[in-house]
Amino acid sequence: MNKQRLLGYALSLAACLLAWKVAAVLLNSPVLPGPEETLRAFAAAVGTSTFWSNFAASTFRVLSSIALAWLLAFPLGIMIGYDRKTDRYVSPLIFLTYPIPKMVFLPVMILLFGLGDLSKILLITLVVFFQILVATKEGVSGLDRKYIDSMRSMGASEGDIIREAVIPAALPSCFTALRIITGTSISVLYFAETFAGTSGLGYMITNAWTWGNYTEIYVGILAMSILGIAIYESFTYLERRVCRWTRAAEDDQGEGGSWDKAVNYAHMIKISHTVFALPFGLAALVILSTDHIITLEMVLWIIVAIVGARSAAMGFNRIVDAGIDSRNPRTSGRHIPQGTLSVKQA
Amino acid sequence: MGERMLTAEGLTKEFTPEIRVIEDLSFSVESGRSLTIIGPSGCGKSTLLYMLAGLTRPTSGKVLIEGREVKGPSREVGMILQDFGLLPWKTVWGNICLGMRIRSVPKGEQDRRAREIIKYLDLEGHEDDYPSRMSGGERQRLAIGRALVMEPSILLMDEPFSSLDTLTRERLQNTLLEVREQKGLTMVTVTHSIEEAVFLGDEIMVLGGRPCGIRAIVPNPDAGGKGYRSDERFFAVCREVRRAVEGL
Repeated sequence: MNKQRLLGYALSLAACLLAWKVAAVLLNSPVLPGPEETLRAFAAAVGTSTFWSNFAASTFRVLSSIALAWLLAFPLGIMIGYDRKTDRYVSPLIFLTYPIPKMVFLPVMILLFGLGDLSKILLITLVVFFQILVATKEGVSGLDRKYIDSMRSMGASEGDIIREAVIPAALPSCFTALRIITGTSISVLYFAETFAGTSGLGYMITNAWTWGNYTEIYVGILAMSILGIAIYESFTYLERRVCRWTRAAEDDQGEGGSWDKAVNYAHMIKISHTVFALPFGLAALVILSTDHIITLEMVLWIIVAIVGARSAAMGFNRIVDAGIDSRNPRTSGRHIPQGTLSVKQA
Repeated sequence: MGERMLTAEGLTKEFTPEIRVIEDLSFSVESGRSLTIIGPSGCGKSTLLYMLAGLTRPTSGKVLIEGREVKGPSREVGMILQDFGLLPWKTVWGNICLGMRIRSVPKGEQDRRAREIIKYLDLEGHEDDYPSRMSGGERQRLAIGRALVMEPSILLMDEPFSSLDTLTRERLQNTLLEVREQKGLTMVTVTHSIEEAVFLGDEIMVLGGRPCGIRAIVPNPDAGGKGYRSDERFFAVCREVRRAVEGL
């Protein structure tokens, strides 16, 4: 499994670099420097303290936000998922405020909490809080009554039930949420850092943009990506340590089966999501058009680059997530008993 | 033997004043005896078992264990639910020790009892397995073990073997008879299988109607041996229970 993951990483990385190189050669513009040039600049940047202070500032912000959001959302999610009374009073409030785009509160956050770390941390927290909350609640709601009843029959107190049944039931979906919000929180971090303050990777990218230092932009993008992958993988690792039982259930499914599924999903999601992602890439092109002349050829190659990158990334994602997909948070609670039923009967 | 272990007196359960599921049930089970309860789905069998276990309060009437009224879950009662209620995030060892941890049994004693029951139910080598990795029969043995490790005097079971194949089911029914004999357990089993009811029960209580009441109590004096399944008397009692069930 681990070898497979490493191989998946290596292949995807190679595919990404290749797509990047091809795009850079074809585009032949300073806006898209080649991978080797960027990696050289990245290696040089890694030797500077400025880079590390920016990297540390961003890491600190994003990790404190996730930690704060988890500390607030996980217990609340447990409560509203388990206790119907709390659910009745709190849930309407949550679902009323959930769809509000929280990013728009950046000016308010800055006015209230200043230009420092606090306003950024609180903005990210605000955005990801709801996602952890909803996932945790779903995890608890999926908990079958029979677990609670069988524990009650042993004389379990409410505390015993929450500790031994409710919290473990919520963990897998909570970890899935944490992995999903990793990307979200870094996006919000970038947004917050471009607007206010003079530190962080987001600031570094915007600053490089202002000076027309394109290679530096990619150094920043690379650093943010590494930060994201590191956090994502940490959550995956943590989940494997904490939720061992989900792997026990998953190991029963054949490797071949999950590979086939992964291939199928990759086919399906690649196309729809790539089409969905295209406007974002083209939007970047529009921004660039303010100080660059855009040719039709460039547009074409950018589309090729996006499709290539997405396909490679999707393939990579599928390989890495093959296992995770088989334990979707909503279904895992139900599928553990059901899955075991069929395995046993077989 | 002989004294009343578990008694129900005029048990009635209403979920709302309009929905009365169980009406005026009275019966008793003597120490070391086995009662099986059979009746159509949704007639309130599980609700009855929950009341006997102290998990649900009756609207009126009471449940007595050795003459004391049941007001909540008791140490003397072990319960095995339909589909077992084993915690998927706990290993065999964790599931076996769960009840003892809840009841604050000292650690050394927990280990001793858990090892003993794992050996007794032939689950050795599975200590670190999660329930999802086990076969249905193994999971059911684990559920029995989890109840027995608490050393109850009464074992309540809600359709314990309904999801097992015939051979596994019969093997576990045999195991249950052995356990009952060795530990002198009083048992109440809810089932929808006539054969299971007749194989396991010294008496078979047929429930039915709305609200649910006792329709028949069929005595089964020859039950208890492993060979009973192929005994002519077994089939005779099965026919009698079937008539009672069909007559509802």
